[in-house]
Amino acid sequence: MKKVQIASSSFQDNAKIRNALLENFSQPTTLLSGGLLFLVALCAIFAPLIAPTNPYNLAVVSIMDSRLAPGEEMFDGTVAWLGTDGAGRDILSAILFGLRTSLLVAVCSALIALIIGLLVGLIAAFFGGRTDTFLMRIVDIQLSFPAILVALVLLAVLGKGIDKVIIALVIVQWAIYARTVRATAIVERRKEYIEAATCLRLSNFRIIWKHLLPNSISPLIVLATLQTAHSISIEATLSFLGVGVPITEPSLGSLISNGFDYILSGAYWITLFPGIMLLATVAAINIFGDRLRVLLNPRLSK
Amino acid sequence: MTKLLEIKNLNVSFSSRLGTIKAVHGVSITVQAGEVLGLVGESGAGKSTIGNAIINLIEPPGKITDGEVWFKDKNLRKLNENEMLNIRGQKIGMIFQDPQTSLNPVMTIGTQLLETINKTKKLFGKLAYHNAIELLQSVGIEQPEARMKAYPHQFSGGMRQRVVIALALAGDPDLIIADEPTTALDVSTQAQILDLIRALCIERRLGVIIVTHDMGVVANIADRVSVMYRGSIVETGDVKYILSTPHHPYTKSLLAAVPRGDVKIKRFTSIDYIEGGAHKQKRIAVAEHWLGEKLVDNKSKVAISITDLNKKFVLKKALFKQNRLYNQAVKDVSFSITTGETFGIVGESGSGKSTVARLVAGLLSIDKGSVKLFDKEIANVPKNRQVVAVQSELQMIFQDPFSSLNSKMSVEDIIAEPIRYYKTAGSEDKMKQIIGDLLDHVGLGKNAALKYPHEFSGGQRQRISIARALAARPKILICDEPTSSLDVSVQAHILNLLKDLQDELNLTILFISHDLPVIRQMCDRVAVMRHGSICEIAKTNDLFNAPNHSYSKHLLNIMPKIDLFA
Repeated sequence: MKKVQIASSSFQDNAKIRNALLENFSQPTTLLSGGLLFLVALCAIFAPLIAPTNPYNLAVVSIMDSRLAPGEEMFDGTVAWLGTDGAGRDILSAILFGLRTSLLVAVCSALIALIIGLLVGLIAAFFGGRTDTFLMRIVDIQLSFPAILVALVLLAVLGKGIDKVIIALVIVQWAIYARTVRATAIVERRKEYIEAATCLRLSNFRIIWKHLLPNSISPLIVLATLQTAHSISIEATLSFLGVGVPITEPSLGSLISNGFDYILSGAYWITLFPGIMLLATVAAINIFGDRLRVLLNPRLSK
Repeated sequence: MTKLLEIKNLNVSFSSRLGTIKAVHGVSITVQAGEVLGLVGESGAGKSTIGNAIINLIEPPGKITDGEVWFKDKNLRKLNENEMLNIRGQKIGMIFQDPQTSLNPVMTIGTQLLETINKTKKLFGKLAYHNAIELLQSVGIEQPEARMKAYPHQFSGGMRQRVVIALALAGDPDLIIADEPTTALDVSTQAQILDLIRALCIERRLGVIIVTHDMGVVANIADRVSVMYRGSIVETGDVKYILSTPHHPYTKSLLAAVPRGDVKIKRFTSIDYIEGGAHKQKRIAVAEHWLGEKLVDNKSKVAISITDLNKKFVLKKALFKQNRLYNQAVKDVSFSITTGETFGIVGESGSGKSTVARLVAGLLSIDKGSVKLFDKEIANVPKNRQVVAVQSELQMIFQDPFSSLNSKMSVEDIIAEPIRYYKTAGSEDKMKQIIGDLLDHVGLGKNAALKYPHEFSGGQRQRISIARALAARPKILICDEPTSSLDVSVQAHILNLLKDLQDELNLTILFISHDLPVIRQMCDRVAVMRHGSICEIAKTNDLFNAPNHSYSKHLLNIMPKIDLFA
């Protein structure tokens, strides 16, 4: 049985992968989460174009519109479908703009952390021995602190700003990537094609770059997706606690925090709708990442 | 004799998106009690599928489309899953290829045996325990009481396979299906396990089906043999008769492809029947080609010279030296290989032969001793340009064709790597042409360049590996068991290719293998290794005709011989 498959794998492999792709992407959960993700991304990218108002243009925002309930008409005639906040900003527009900030921070930090983690993991796996021990102990130390605590301390020192939030999130996350990459790369490192490359006396850089990297990167694709969702929630938490992004460029987290004071006075929408948006985004990314994991792991997909 | 098992016109097919593949068609075999039937064929011939079909364990998308399986006057195809459970594992025992994976690593041998006995014989408590001890004794495990408490990893491969056989015997079966039972084992262990199966078969009047790709195994153990080719049986008959007077062209070519242990022949017999003669590619005239350009300087007569090579691996790390544990993998090994010679290292697994290869190739650091390539010391010297230049004249062919190629690179990129890195081709066009020539030369054809490794079979991948090694224009080639994972017919092709290349390029080859017949056909001189040191170095003919060392004699004795009947 097994041997039959090996012998005919030459022409079945491609077909198998294509089949798995089709099968996976036609499943409702994949379609739903993927579609939602796509929509969210579009909203974030085109926020200035599709938002009914610009909530941060002080010339437009009027205090007269403060705390309008969802569906009420604002002073200048536009309908605030999701209501307005305490300063009279349209919640829908604020969500779209907030999404932009949230996604920017999450994607940037995930990517930078990925690159740093990838480098550290590959170097540790390739050189082994003391290099490996040294780098992995740093990773251990990093991972032994709760992410939110490290981020809080860092931001307290660095101050506010989108760039600072990204730096904090990178520092919090790189170690996870490093450890994952190392685990895969250490297996690949022992395979014979790496020995063959060593026999060709290629430089270490070339072996890492052309042989080790392409074969160790696939688990990271999934991890990066899931970590993006994670960094959105960390960022939201930080902003909610008031140490995240500056007040001039609020993210979903700061919007939730803004409305928190009004919840008891009945203006639930200021907190609720950004909260739902946050939940939907994170859930969509997580579900999509999970589907991706199943898809890329031949053991989980039959 | 009564028929124990009779298979009539069995058909199994696997349906995929690309159509239905008939894995087995029209197969009819019978097995009698007390008889060993060998089912022999190459990978993909469908021999394991038959074994699985008998006990109705064909995994989807596979399906038995037609045929009957009669076992002791019962049609197994008509039984439901519950009735089948009583037959499977009780009346029909299975022995699988890898004893490592067929035992549960977190349960003791005793627990696993008792569990099986509880299920199959409905014996419990003391009775079951005694039965388990008896079983372990009957498969030749010493001190069975103590071994009952041991875990699978505490056994050697051969011992583990004995335990698996004991498990198969637990239900007092009438038929045993052994699927490549000795493929994962050493030659000497293989001989013991085959003897055991044979003895059990006579003692308990079992019917045994041995599924194997190894003609030597069949010759040693089977009474009758069925030769399979692409899903059908091409020839069945008495082992002695089939091996001495094969009729079907496939059987003939299969037998011809098996390396002979008795006499050295110039080349392996060409076996076009098997690969369909698809490898008649244009070969290039090497002397005038880019490949031959570097061959002029032949300063040194000694290609590799090794003195007192030592290597130990750390088994247990500890802060203090006296607490550390080492495994001396290579101990005081010395030999030298003259330019153009093929030097073989033979030994069982764990004898340190691969470690020697990796030390010479510079893949492992050397603890003590000296390694000289063309009179240039490479052991424990700083890596300067001259050392790297000498080292890059040495290339290696690896054992496992599935892990020795980077699956993310196209074949062209794989072969182009040394050419690009050392900029030996001049231009990109010239390089493409060279790669085409190389692929032609190793028998794959130019078109292979744009494909990826997964599109090729094991033998073809090994050709790609050879082409990659050639692209570095080596003078020394280290072959670490280059054919041990390949079918015999493919093995013959690869070994012929290596021989041709050596003649054309005057390569020095260090050839490592556990397979004595292959060593005999390939090598000029041989070193026999055991426990990290060399027992004997001799000319191949001398070693095979008159071995000096007792271990060499032992190895030669247990070498599977199929030419007994020829």
